[in-house]
Amino acid sequence: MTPRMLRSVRGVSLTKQPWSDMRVYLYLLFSCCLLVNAQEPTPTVTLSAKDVALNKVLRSVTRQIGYDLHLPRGRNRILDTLVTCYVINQPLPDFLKKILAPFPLRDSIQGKDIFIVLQPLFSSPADVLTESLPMTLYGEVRDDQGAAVVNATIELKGRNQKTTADSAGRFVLSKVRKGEVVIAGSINTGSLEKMVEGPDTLRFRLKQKVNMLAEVVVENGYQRLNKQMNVGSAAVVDNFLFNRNPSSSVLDRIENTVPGVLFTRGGQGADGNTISDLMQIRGRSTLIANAAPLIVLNNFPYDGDLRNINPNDVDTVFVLKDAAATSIWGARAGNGVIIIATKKGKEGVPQTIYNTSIGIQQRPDLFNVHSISPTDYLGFEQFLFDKGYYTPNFTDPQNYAAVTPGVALLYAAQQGQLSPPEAAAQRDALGKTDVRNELSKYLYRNSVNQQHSLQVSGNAHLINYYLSAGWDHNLSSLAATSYDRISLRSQNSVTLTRNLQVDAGINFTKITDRNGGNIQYNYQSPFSYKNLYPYAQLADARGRSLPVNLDYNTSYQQQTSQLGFPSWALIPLDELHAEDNRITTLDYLLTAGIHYKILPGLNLEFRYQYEDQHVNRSDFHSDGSYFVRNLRNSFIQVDPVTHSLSYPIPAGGILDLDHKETVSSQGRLQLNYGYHRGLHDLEAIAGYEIRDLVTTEYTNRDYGYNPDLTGNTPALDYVGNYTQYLTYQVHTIPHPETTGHLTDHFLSVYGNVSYTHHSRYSLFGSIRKDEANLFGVRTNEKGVPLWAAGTGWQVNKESFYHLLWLPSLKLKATYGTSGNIARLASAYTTAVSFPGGLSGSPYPMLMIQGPPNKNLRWEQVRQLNLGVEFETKNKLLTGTIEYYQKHSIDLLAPSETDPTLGIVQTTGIPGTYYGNTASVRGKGVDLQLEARTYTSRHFAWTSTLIGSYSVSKVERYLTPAGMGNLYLNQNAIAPVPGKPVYSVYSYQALPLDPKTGDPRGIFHRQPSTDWDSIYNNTKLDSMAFHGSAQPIFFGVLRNSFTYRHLSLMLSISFKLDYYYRKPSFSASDAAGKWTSSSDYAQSWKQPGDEKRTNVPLVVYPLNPNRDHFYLNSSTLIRRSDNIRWEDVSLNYDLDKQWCPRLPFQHVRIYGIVSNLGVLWKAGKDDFDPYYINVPKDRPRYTIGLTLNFFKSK
Amino acid sequence: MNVRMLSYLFLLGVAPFACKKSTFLDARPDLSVIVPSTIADCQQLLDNDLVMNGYGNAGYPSLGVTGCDDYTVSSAQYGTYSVIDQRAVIWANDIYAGGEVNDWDLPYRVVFYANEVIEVLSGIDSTGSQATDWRNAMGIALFYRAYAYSQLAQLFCPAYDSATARTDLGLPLRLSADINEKMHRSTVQQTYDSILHYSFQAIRLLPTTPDWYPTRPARAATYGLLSRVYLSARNYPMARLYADSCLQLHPTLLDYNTADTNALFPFTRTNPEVIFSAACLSSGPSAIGRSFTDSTLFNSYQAGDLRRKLFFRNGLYFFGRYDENGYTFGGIAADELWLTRAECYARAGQVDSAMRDLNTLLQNRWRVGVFTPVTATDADDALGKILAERRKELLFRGLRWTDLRRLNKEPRRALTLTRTVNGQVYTLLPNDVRYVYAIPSNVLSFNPDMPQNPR
Repeated sequence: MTPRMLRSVRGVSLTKQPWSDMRVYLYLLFSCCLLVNAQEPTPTVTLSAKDVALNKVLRSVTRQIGYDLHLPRGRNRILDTLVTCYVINQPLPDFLKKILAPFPLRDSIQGKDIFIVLQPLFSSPADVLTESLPMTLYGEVRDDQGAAVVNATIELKGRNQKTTADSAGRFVLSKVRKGEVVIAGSINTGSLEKMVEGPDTLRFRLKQKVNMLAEVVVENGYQRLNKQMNVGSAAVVDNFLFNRNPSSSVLDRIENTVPGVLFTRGGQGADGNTISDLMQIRGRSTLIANAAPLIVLNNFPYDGDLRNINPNDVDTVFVLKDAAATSIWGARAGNGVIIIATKKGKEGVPQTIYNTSIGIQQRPDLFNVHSISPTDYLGFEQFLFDKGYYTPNFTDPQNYAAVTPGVALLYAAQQGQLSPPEAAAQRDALGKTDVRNELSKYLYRNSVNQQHSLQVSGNAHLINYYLSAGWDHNLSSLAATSYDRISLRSQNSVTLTRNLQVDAGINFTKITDRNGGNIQYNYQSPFSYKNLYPYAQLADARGRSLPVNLDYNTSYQQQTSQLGFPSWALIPLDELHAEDNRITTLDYLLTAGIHYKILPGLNLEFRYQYEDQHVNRSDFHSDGSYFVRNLRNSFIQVDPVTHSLSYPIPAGGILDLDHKETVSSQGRLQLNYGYHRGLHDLEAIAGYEIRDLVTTEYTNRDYGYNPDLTGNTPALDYVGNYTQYLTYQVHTIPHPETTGHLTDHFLSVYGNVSYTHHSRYSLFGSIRKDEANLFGVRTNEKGVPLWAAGTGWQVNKESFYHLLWLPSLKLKATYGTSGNIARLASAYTTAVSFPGGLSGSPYPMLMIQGPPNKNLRWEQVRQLNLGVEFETKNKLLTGTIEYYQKHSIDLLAPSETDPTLGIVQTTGIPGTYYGNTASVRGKGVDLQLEARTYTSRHFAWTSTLIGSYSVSKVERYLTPAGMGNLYLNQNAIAPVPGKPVYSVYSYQALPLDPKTGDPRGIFHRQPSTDWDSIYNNTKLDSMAFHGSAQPIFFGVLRNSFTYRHLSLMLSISFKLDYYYRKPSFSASDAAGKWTSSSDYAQSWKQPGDEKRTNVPLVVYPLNPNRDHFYLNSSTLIRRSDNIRWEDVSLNYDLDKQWCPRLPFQHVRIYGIVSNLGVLWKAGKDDFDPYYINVPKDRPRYTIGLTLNFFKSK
Repeated sequence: MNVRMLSYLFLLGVAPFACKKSTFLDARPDLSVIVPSTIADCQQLLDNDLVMNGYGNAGYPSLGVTGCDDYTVSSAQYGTYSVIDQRAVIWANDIYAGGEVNDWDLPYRVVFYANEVIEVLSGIDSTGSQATDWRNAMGIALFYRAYAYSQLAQLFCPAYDSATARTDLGLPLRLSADINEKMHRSTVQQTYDSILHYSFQAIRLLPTTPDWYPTRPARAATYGLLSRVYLSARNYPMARLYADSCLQLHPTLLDYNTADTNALFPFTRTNPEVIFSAACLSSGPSAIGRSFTDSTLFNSYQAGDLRRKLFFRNGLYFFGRYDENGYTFGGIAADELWLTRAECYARAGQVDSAMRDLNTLLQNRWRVGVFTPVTATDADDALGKILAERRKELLFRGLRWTDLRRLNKEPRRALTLTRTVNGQVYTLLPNDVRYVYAIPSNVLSFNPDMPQNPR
């Protein structure tokens, strides 16, 4: 008889009222059921029972082996205790000893009679015995979720006796005396001490350090549901994971932690179109409506800038994905909901935590911008010059457009002002400067991010408090750009009476974004649309700033300066301090709540939140800035006779102000009902909600502004027309003054019920009706309430379930609807007003903006979610797999209409209105697996795989397809039924013409070089469709290694099956914008080159449509698939418990290197799909320290 | 205690919701956007001269000008036309290229605005202190609906013929502003009845001589419209009646001797002759410099006729638009009504009245001292002279097309039009089916059951 066999009773549950006789569920599973060993006199027992009353177990055993059972007389509740045991071929005496061990019961076998006798609890002879004699102590170690802690260390305090728990979390200690102290702990959990009081099994419940998958309660902003009752799809980003990435932004920290959540990176294509949909949950479920997930801070939607929330105050983030999880948010939940739960005071003594980190990142790699090299560009200019492209610049007296220094040299040589060798030498010298080096050196820098946060929290005598202060100071990679955030937070609750709890919170944030006149790599003059040419020099050898001419040529500048005009030179480095652009964000958030217990289980809750956010943008252009000099100069009036100058725009700087204030008030009255008795677990809420959001904005400009002497601004003539000296165009002085006022009103009624029967069967139902001032009464009267329903089944609790290797298995299914808000459409006619006199009549007028649409409906997103949650034995593998289908119907889309309706807006363009005319179908799989890959006494290796498959395709879209050239921007939504919402299209292309080096397309099914026709007349169905611009498969693999108090985490992400358009060389861009791609070097030059290159011959005259065709041809489409090393982080923990001399209770030192770069990519070109032709971010190194001052127990 | 506490809580909770729900939900989401709901809003919609009067890049139909014989076109000019205009110039069977047809869309936009106004006003009290404003706005809206339909009817419906009007296909008549309304074609009789009905309603509401800028139609404009519609239906007694009503209110003619001969455009939009100012689309031959005035027509202006100099520049370019910006005039001016009344007198055999009206007009058109009044030997002679002057006075206003359609019904006055474009001669016979333009193809694609006009 091994000790191991002795210990094989486990899982005696003393939970809810086990003495109720009704429950006899289940069950003895006699796998070969109960075997009686034929060999007398010791029969053996094989049995698997879970949550079965003790007397049932005993009766079954004795009945099966043919023995008689004699129980103590009278009704004894102990015998109704539910027990769980799995034994195989165990001798009957051992079995009885073991199963009775936890109880004050002893057995006595006499022949075929088993007597169970009640043992007095105290002063029994056995007790006296144990006091004096060393005994063998049995125990088990479980975590706070009830799972066995494998390889837990168990130690007798003060004695050098240690042991390790087995795979079931059990242990044996021999020769233990009463009164001794046992310490149990493990690498993943905290540790706990217990005094030995008797021979009873010693049970430890250790707190998990790293929360395992989805084991926590789920919050949805209205209620908390435990895991068992929750049937919806809700992912949890716990505090440990959330703090892994020390970014100042809450959203950044969610990246790569939750399946189904896609962060779009590097969407900027060669065409410079910016990215859309920064963050998406389970694909895009709308076309034109707001596609961003709803962000909820604790209880209410957050209307301010998300940057106002200090991540150090955040405890947990919940990502609600399916209809059941989001339905409670109704019409705003169609894109998913992110709940940000902030920290609160914890039970126990006060805690003070100080956290600081500093992150350093080398200046970005500007050479990732594949622009034409300086020497190549000089060569290209020579080519254009020889063809006469620049002739008008020198011969047309009205042509004031600037030329590059290289072209000026060519002209000087042509005019004989310079000898050809000298010009060539000077041009060679120009070619030695690369503007990317210059920019990198003078206008970029290494970025440094600092974070400091101090938190005091606790829960003392009916008062729960949390106070924090934070300061973030980020110097970004652009030389004059910085970000500062100060945040203060106070969140307190007081229990006033037994039934009444009041809470109140204040949050204040101030963010200052500073940005000087920082010219960037892609700077383009807003006047001439010229970029910095590839060999532009920004400073001379001694570091003095140099002018760069982008707008007006030198002769014009000379001519005007002779007249007395102030200098017209653009000096990029001086701009750095000539502009002072700031955005100051002030945010005040006040919350209040009253929680009143009406009856046991029934609570009434009132919550209120007020938020006032001011965003003040102040752009000060000093009198030396190019902006001011250029504007002022272009308005200078030259007297035709005296040549004297007058200045309609006064001297001094220009101050542009924009003030935007967002005030939101939200109130909620809610009844909560909870019933947890017997087999029934019920949670229900019902409530009423009101929301008022007002945004006001005004913009103003002050001319002649002097920051050192404010006062009255000079009166200007904003009405008069001034002929500009340069262009002869007539303009009034620009006077941007606008006002805006937006109001959002919502009234909502909602309710939901969660019911779980016998911890096995869960049902969920939710309903919500929203009314808003957006759509008009007609729609609201139709009152389509949004609803969801779901069910869950904890299969492993069933009697027939006997997969020992998979002790936990839950199936769940939900279906329901949520909505999206679009402000573009209205059930009523909407109109905007114009002043009179625009075209003759003196009367003010109204222009109809949108026609009335009585049938307008809310957008609806219907979602089906099927999920499996499982745990293998000892949590070696824990996982959730979910499959979903999303059907977004009644999507608003611009719809063409019968012209007879008269809603044409512009002559010749079909009239459209926003109607519920489109639909999108999405589907996908979310997968999260966590494996305890390897665990030993001091070392643990955990692997987490987060994987997603997600496709959203347009199902219905009424507007007929336009010409193919409208579908070339993969970052814009140009819906085509059957295709992904973001699709990559191109012109079908053939290899270069081997004779001419021309790019060749296909037109009317024939090879064609008629690029004009291809551009103008290629229909969509003749375009090449490549696939989605967003990854279809994406996810992250995270490995954590823990050795004693040191842990290391590695993350590798992948994004697969999507496409990008590789930038390439365009001669018309290179000539017109002064820069283009380095592919110039690869261009076709002679027959045979088509074998090595796709870049066409550079031709003159320039042919923009030829270039357009090539840049958008199928030759340049690449797969974006990539696997990248996201980050590696290291934590070292020190605790006073381990190092008594530590001056703090707990210290954590951490470091993380993020953005480590691509490990593999599908595209053969030198483009990282995250950084296509933009400066590439280098790895960021962050180190930090968390100090916990007071004892936390 | 519990109950009291509960009621406090309840009150606290209910307080924010106590405001009236409808007021809360009716708050305007964006103060720069208005849901038209007051009389003033309605008036501002009607005052949108870009839409209602056709200024800016808009206008009432110009296919009438394109189809008529006011002009000739050179190959170079022809090359600059849109596809629709090119095909319309040569009276092609299918003139639409599948795209938008402004001649259809823009008048229906006027109908949409008018319907919107009428719907809003229907829900507003029309009595009391705002009665005048209400009546003005409602009257103007009704006028516009009638005016737009009258313009459309000249292009897309057969010329009114009392014998067939009850079976000839008319316009789809929109009854509300809602975009879910389904369209079907009425008969010509229903179309004309609607135009007349709206005009009569407007007359009862509109003031007689308000001090309005001429983009706002008043009662005189409505009489003018009625006269024009009756004339197109060849109901001459009624046309005369309403021309007379109009001229009672607005007889003023501009003395061309006072016109500024140096200005690029000698006439302004606000000149006293204008009763209602509006513009036609400056498309195809209507646009300045894109066509030459028909030389026969040009040569019919005699030496002392001021129009010869004021109307034409650089030879045959027509500059005689009642608009200082060069928009093709598409409104109503007193000269048209003088000519209409003269014609109706002549057709009634009242030669003296007819010639008096004609001479009233012409003495404002001829150089002072040179003009000798026109005389007629009989009613037919009078009618011929009046129609000739009508042609010389009302060119490039789209009115010629209507005149051709109605005169074709009189065999003696029916004309066969010919046009030479790029050396090829095209002909349009009287009463040709091509005097009725096809319904735009995209309209039919939205209304598959709608019958098309034969071409």
